[in-house]
Amino acid sequence: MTAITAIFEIFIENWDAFLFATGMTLKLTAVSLVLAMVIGLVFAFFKISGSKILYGIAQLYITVIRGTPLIVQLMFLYFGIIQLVVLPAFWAGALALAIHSGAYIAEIFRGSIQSINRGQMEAARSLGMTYPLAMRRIILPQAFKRAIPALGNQFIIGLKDSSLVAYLGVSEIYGTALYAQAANFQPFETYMVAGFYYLVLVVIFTWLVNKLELRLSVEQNEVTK
Amino acid sequence: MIHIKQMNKSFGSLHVLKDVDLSVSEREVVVLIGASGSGKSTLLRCINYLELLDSGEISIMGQMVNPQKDNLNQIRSEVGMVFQHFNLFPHRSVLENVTEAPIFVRGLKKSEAFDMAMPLLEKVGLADKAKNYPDQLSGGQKQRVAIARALAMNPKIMLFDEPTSALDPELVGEVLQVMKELAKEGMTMVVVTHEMGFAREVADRVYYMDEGKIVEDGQPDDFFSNPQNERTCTFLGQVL
Ligand SMILES: Nc1ncnc2c1ncn2[C@@H]1O[C@H](COP(=O)(O)OP(=O)(O)O)[C@@H](O)[C@H]1O
Ligand SMILES: [Mg+2]
Repeated sequence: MTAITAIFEIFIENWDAFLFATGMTLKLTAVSLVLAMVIGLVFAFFKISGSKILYGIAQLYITVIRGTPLIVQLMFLYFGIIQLVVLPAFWAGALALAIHSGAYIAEIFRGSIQSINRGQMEAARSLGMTYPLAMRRIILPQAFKRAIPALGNQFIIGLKDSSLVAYLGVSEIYGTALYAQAANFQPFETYMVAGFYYLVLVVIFTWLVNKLELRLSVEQNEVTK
Repeated sequence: MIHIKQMNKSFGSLHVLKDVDLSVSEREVVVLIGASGSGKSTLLRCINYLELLDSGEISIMGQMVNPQKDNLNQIRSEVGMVFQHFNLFPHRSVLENVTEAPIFVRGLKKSEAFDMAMPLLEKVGLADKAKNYPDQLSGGQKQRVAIARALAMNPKIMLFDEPTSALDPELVGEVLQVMKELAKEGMTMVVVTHEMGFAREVADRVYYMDEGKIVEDGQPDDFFSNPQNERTCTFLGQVL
């Protein structure tokens, strides 16, 4: 019983700090995801470009990101990035997270672009469209729609992964818990509260992504009728 | 309009087109027949440079084409193509399918493109479907939209690759009807089809392809009633 009361007390005591931290986590996730989509799109194009060199670069990037722990990447990128440019921890962290998610998103985009029937590109080209124009107007809008479920999933992973940026000194949810437990000497209860915040966010986003997916598939069905 | 000389095309070790010669004059309707896999689609795709030939020459409208140098997109925009599986853009309405290329390739204003597209949709009998999306149409309707979409670029030549092969039998007629009207208006057409009735009625010349070669050609009457080549006879025996 005392544990539950203690958790509840910590929840109340740190209410404002965690609320601020939630905002930080969301900002971090959103910024890194937007950057990651840009990175992902570029490397997806590298992979389908037909150029062996570009394909090799993309493959190397994806292999390294997949083959090493995120925390190692974050530290490595953080110390690399701040040697090149002076960046606040938030931006350095967001950029590092983006470089990580970008590899996964590159594969998502590559898959969804290649899943579009090749007749679409041929029809566009036969009308005189250039390759970039056909991509932009015909292929990408369809590919993007098809990628939404996987992107939603990657978004949720990115939300949880953003906790590691705490080690760069960003006061997002996990970082706030780190500070709080150092002050109140109640790590078990404090991390429990932090976990609760993540869980609520993930449940909300899962619900949103499912809803979006459902709407897309309903649209699809309506169209097929 | 189209002059093809000694065209060769291989996919890896598969020699698909073998020394193909073909000439199509202005306002001529040419029908290309042949067994599946004989290279008919590849031939059409080469004419439109969707595939690059390995050797030989193609000239279109008196213009020798050098794919390394010339603007293929401009040539393609003068040559309309209709596909077996329609390939309409599913995320665009019927009207937008027709106006997409005129707006983004030719640089027409939206309103100009719409004014040009509506008569074309009327011509193929689908003006009332302008706001619908492709998946709301029957196969025959889709193919008629695809024809309108190609016509919107004002092509000098139209290529049809088995335009009715994916259609339910009762929908074939409406597409052939549109094609017949086009032929009557004097469009230069190359049509790959298994519709022998259409070939008889509309074609100026029929070509029979076998294993990557054109083995026989002639005017439809002669061609169908008195085929010379043994393989042509066998093929016609199967389809007629
Ligand atoms: N992109 C391609 N890559 C490899 N082989 C191909 C390709 N396109 C066509 N082929 C092959 O070339 C041959 C001729 O194909 P196609 O021109 O489609 O014949 P048709 O239209 O007469 O049925 C077939 O054996 C086919 O498998
Ligand atoms: Mg074919």
